Amino acid sequence: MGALDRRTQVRQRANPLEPCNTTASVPVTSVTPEPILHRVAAGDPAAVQEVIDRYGGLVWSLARRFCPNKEEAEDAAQEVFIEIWNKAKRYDASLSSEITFIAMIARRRLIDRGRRRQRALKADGLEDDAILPSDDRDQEMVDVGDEAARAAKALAQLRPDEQRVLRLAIYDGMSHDQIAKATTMPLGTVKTHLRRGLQRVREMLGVEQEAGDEA
Amino acid sequence: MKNRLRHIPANETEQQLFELMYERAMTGLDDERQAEYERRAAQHPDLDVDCYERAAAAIWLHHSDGQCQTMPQALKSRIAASAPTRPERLTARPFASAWTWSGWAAAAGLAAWLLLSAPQPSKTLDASAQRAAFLEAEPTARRAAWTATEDPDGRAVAGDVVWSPASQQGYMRFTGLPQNDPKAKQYQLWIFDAQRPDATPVDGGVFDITTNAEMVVPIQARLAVGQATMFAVTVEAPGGVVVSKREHIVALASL
Repeated sequence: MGALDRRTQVRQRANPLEPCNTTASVPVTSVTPEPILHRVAAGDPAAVQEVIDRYGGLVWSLARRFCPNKEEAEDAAQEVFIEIWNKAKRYDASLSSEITFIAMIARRRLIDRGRRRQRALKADGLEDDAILPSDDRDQEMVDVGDEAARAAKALAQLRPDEQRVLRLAIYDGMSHDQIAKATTMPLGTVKTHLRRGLQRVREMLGVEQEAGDEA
Repeated sequence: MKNRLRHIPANETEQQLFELMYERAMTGLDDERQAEYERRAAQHPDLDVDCYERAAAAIWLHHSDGQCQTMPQALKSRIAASAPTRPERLTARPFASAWTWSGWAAAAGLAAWLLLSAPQPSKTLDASAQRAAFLEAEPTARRAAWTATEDPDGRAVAGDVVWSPASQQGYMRFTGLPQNDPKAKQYQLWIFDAQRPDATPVDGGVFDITTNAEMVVPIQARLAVGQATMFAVTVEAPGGVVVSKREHIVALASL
């Protein structure tokens, strides 16, 4: 099942017990609810719990992919949520969906944390632990939002090699060197593909966003 | 609300900012580049400086296919306990990454205020958040897991201790350590230092366990610790002791 198919399926679920942000059960004529993050910024304790319940799985999945062990991932996830509480009032619904905003904050925090870890290990003359596959078996589904669908459209227009290196870098968290070894591409080619690919996706997201603004 | 931020660089100066934005999204920036990014971003408030990061996040979400691992309930509870519940806490931003000593002093003042004025759970709430901020600010902090002991109060102990030799600060995190009546007994931390005899470990502070849930306790070392090798928690008379008889050791952690 492809990502878009699954996303459609997820949106069609209307079970209120499921953690996903379903849209099928919301009447078309309903007033757009205030973003949860704005309620968090206003100090609504229920909104805090709602954010944790709705986006905890996303943050946890990212943390498990970026951190070498579960303990680090737990601390990292807590750091990410502290950042979310602090940035909640900056959320702008005209720029992205809430889930993309959360994923963006999480990636940034986890990348920075990884850099600090590398720096500390380097100072101690140690090697970083390999990030082991997670043995967590409990899974949940989330609605990945409009930007993910637009990113999928943009990615489909890239060359297969560009799509591949973008996935390895962004989703699998591999370094440029690791990608070059895994794909046997020259390092310079990897960098070029990444730059061009992300630039293309960025441009397409921006163009569609502006089109939405004009409408 | 219409978004008026620009997504395309208009000149060479803006192109340089976009280079930094790209790096930030893919590999992160070192301190120097981050400072340059912040300086340039402040000069261009009309540019959408998050556009590369947003694109990367969208790509990640697309590849995730909507499947996420469920966050452990204990972690959700810990995050909920450390969340602010008042808007002024958010604007104060006490847990910013570049915490200085004065920031920690301010937090200590805040914690003291909470201790006097807020319900008991707030004490745990802030210690947990402070621990997270500490780990962010102290990348070289060392961590060791607690080992349960044969003592009746120590058989179910779990959690860890984190300690920064550089700042001489640290935090203990416990689950499974029984709540104590402070009038009858208290817990005391001892820090074994490679530069001191084992007979005279450093007093790491007296504390109480006030919840059956996870509890975070800041370490309050009475003396400078040269090279911490082991942490031990004992049960002592109220107020603690100068020299422990080590009759009730309830938790051990070796670095």
